[in-house]
Amino acid sequence: MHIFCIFFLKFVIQPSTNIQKIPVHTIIGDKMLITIIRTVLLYLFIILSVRIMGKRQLSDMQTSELVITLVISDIAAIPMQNTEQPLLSGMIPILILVSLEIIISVIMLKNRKFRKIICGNPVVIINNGKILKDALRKLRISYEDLYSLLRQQEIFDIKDVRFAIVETNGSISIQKTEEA
Amino acid sequence: MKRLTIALIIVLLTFSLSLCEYITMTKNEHKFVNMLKICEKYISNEETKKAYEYAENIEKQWQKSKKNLNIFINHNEVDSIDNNLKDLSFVIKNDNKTEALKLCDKTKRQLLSIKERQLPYFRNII
Repeated sequence: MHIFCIFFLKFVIQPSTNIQKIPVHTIIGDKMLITIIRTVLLYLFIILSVRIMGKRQLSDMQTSELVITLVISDIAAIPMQNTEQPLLSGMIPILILVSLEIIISVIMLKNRKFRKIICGNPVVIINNGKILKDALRKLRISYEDLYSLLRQQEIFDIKDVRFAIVETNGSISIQKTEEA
Repeated sequence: MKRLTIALIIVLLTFSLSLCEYITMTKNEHKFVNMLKICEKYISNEETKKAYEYAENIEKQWQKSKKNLNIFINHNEVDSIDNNLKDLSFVIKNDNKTEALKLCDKTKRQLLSIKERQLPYFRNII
């Protein structure tokens, strides 16, 4: 991009205007280069952060983990665009979030009560082919959503389900009846 | 456990970085506010030559400290103080006492406000 701009100014604009008197770098803006370097640095930094958080982060996200991933991407975007902001002010919150995520996941591993507070419990929504309306209402899942989720699991009759459980990460586990 | 150790190291690192920021900021704020006070004295006593030399010295010192401050503070704020100090020498040279005193006060206020905003007070957190 930078090279293209220099080429454009030198050969396209310059012959017809007085731009040749102005140094090229002042027209393009040095900030473009800074943005490129910052973006590369932050990209490497985020990759490193995600690697530190571990593979669990990528495959089986809990709600809190999803939120942290979204927040990290949002924080990283600010110093990338705004070159006036120190890079460190974007990196420090990411580092803190990564460490908090690791510390909380270790505590969750050791303490079941804490895990329940953070992640909640799995909820049964179908028991022996019967939809548990109260559980559905609590989870704010409509019948249409439920049927859609069942169809995605290739189940077209609710009687074919012995148990359907909404896991803490929002996915649904289904145990089919023997006939199905 | 290995990850937990890494996490704890990161937490320590971030805390030491914030401490480093606080020390750098406080040290520089103290240094430049004091220097500006001395410069103000020279201007008030109408010692223009001394004030001009001192203002130039402040500017030189600022150029050195600027590199470290840019790591922690918004670059716009650093540039704003930089411009004020450049203007200060110019204004003193042109014998504009009122404007020079105004610039000194403005720069002092800016430095104090930057330092104030770094402190972990409840009003800054919220």
